[in-house]
Amino acid sequence: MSKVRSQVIRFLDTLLKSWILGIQQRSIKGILSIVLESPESEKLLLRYFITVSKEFSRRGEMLIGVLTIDIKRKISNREVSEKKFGKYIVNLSAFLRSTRSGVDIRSLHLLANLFSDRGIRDVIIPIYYIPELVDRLKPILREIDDDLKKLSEFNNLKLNSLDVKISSKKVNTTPSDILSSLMKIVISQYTDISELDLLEREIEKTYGVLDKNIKNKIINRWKMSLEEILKIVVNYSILLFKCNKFDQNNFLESLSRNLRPEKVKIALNKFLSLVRENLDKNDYNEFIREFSNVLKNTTLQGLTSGYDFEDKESANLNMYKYLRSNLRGFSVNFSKIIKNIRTIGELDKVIRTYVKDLFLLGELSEDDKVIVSILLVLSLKPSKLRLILYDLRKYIICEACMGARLIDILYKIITKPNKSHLVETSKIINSLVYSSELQKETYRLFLVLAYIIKALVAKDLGLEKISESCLRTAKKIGDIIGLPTERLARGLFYWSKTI
Amino acid sequence: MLVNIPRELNDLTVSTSNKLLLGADDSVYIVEIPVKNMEKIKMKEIFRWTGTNIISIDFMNDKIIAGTDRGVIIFSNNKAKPVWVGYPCNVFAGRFSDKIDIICLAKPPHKMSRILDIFAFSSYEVEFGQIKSLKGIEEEVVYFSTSIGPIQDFAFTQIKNLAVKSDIDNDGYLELIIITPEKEPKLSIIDIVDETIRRTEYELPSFVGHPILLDYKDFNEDGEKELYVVSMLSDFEAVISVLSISDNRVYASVLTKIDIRDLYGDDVSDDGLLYVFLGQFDNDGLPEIVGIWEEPSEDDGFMSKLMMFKINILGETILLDDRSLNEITIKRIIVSDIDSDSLLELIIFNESGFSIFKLRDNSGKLSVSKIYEFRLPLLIKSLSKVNNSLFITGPIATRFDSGWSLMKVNLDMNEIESVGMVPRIITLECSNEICILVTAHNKLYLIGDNCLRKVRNIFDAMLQRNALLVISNEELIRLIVNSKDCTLHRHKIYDLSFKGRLIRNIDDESIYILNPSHIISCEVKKGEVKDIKLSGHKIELKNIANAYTYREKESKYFVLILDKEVFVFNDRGNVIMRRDIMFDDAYSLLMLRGPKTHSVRIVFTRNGELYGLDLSSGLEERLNLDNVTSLRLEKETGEILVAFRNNWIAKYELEEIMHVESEESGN
Repeated sequence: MSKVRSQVIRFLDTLLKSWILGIQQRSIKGILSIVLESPESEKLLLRYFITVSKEFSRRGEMLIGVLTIDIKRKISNREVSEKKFGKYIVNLSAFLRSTRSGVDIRSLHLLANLFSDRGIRDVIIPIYYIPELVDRLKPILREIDDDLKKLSEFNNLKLNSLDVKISSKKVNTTPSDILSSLMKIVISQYTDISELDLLEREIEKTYGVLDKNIKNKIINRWKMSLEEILKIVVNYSILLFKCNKFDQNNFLESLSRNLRPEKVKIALNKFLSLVRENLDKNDYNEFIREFSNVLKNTTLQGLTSGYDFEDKESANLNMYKYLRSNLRGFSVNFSKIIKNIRTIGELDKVIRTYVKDLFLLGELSEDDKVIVSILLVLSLKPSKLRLILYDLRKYIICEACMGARLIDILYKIITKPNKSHLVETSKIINSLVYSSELQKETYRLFLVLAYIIKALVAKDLGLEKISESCLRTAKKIGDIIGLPTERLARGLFYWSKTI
Repeated sequence: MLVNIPRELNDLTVSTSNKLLLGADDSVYIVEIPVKNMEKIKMKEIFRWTGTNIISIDFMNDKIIAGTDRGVIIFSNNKAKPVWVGYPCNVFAGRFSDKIDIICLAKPPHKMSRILDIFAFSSYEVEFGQIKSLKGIEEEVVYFSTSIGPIQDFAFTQIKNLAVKSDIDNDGYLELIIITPEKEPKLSIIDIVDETIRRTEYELPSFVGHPILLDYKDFNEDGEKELYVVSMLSDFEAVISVLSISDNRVYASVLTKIDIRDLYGDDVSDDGLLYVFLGQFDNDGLPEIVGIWEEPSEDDGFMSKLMMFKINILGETILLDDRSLNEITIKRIIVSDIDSDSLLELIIFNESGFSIFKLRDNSGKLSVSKIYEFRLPLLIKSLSKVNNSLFITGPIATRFDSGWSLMKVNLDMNEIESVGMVPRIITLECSNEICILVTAHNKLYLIGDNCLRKVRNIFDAMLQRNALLVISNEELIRLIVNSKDCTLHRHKIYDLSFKGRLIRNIDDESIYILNPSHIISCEVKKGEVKDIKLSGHKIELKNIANAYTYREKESKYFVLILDKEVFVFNDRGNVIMRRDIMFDDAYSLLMLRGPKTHSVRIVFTRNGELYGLDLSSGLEERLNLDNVTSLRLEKETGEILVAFRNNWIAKYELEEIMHVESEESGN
């Protein structure tokens, strides 16, 4: 395959996948324009007019409807040549049923329900269907490739420039919007190990304990889909960044809209680390190179240069030295951590900085960071909890994770404790007790804190027995893991009086 | 009738902290667990309704409600009264509404076997002293998805684990919550509103299928109760799920999964059963999941091997220190704080009684100790009466040698006390002061006023008026026993060169000892020892069911009763009579002098029917009684104690069971 032909196919492949996955609308029309140049500097304009219609509805595991892809090719140099490719109708659901085993189907259904239950409904085609989508796009791309093969003048051409634009009049979206939307999907569904923990927990809690085979299939597909969508986003980014008319400001605005301004930096940081961890080095380097240019002269400049833990000053490094993955040994070192933070400076300022920097640490999961932040604030400066909760809300990405749920409850308590908060904390307690997840210290800390929060809510509601019982249990668990629960409870109860 | 010992134990429930209610046969008993460990468990009959079979029991305030195979009986103000006559039912008592306080789940024989009827009615309408038919309210529930299988049994054993009464909606009244035992179970909440049954049924996810336990308890010590269900995913795997109800849906989420093979490897039996309970059992201050894997013991089908483990609240599994315990096959396990120490104990209820286990966590190691054991004999094989106490013993299962229950019945109080478990008993005898028993394992048990002592290497023992004769280590010994503290004073009478058996003397106190070919006569007072050689006979001692001696017209006779024959020797050792005899066992064998003529007879049972063999005429007669398992002649009163197959014990005068005609024919 000639280089230019493979480039065109790659662009189309990326564009189709990105648009299918990233658009919110039912239908979109757009144009991929590629300017090719001959050795004699003669230019040839190759344009693909693409229409993607998604007539889907998805209810839990049910994926009903079809995806229609309509492509027309136009070449203009001296004369205009046109080719209309057949209308491709993709029925993923039927395809799944016809090609997959019963176990596959069941695991996919479970995965679909899982995402559906967690309120992830921002995409019509779930990203874990990507492997099937890739398969179904192959004949389309083959037909386009066959068409290109027939064009003899293609052999000596090289890429001059390209452009992507949305031509639908009724749709108010841009190619950059689709990119930021895709990035959001990646970040919100594939943050870090907390997300994988969450996925496993949800599978176990919601569907009973699954057959190991099905469970492994779900986890593998989760990982496979992550790699695939990262590739798509990276390729689509590169494609857009190469476009003549790519608007840097439009892209950044779109990112802020999709990811919320306060989270852009953390979210992009997370996205970059996902790309680094999951794609090969060449793809990563090419992406970073292009992305750095886009971010040049913006407040996000430097993000791509590897801003992370290692660059912090050594004094700050000391603050995090007891924080290991899954917070191993956190409880026993709790007093040392507290002592270290106290020595740094005025607590009012130190705490916020500490939490902010903590969220840039690569090694810890988001749940690790949330629980550490809350426990330290409760011990050091309970009156600052509200402020820290506000900060944490800005930093967290995984909104279905345990940390986010706990922050949410604490936030609600500020307004007025009611019975539903008691129910919420009970759910957290029940999702953790007796589970193997408690082998990780992170979730032991969550459990202790959930009991203390429940004690506080119960006390505010005048349910003294429940409050006492929760405090007693929190203390006993705290004694086992070596965490000073009384101090934390005092901090939380003090905070509740001050709000 | 003197007393009856419960035989078919059907239900056990905890009434107050140290009191249990036992439903057995046609009676309800109260079982008192002593506060102090040294005391014995006592049991007393509260009421009975002859002709019924108590299936389930519950209680409220001062009333006991019994579900029988024929309806419901209420016991209140010392009176029992049938309040609903129908069909077999499980009862649940409590304040379900202002008027309704009894709900029963009944299995109507005329309806499809899939269906259970729910009846609810009020005990307040019961007027004792006059018959008043209760008007109940009725609703039916499709409880079983299939009509195949032993539904009847299931309905009345397993359902107790799958139903729980509790005020789940916090309206101040109880609701009955039941789960169906199916692959795709349904949860029903039975609420009594405006004197009607309101049943709300909820679908449950498939992983809750095949439930084995439904309970409503604070399993996480957060001060609130939660509804949870334990389901069997497969033979070896269980899942514990928490159920929460909101928006007319039940949400189930899994607490944890247990796979027995993960804990004990693949060696576990295919026939095992898993029991799982949640609560605070041990001393670690936190709640736990306690699991018991029961599988048949390899040695004996009657016994089970129990492997216990706990999962602590932090999800760590800790196995029982000693790996396994041996227990009688479990019928049901009840958890309750029986000793008021705020920790739960496991009451393992089975066909013969129950055992109470206490759990301890010794810094991450689980240990289990049996704190109480209460066993009732399946059949009464030996009994003896002293003053107003009756000692009884018998195996707790058929052909079960190593576990015989020894019980003491206070006839004045009608109170049954568990003395303990002993190996198979050969001899049980009581005098005014002491009771003795000799076991098949050559142990002598002495039971005094408040003492129990075991003496080893005793091959036979016999009470005499104020002493105890024993054969120990080839010696004949007289033991003087202090009944207050069971201390012994030992006096050797005679050196034997064999381990013989004492011959029961029905006329005087001369001592005769049997060895394989001799009878040794010891005239202790005269210091004479006489050796009577049994002409032409070598007898295996182990084949001797019993040996007696009697006097007739200045002559001594010795009767040796073997497995299938009777020999009568004179005092020169010559056989004067030999006769084939078929009898059940040595426990239902007596030698006595008949009324009026005082002719010597052997009384025995054959297939439970009582027979007499007149030794002078050699005639065998069928006597009055059937279904006899054990006989005892009380020498001092002349009464005959008879134990029947249904564990009733009665006393008879000699004349009552002897045919006058046979006396005459004997003459």
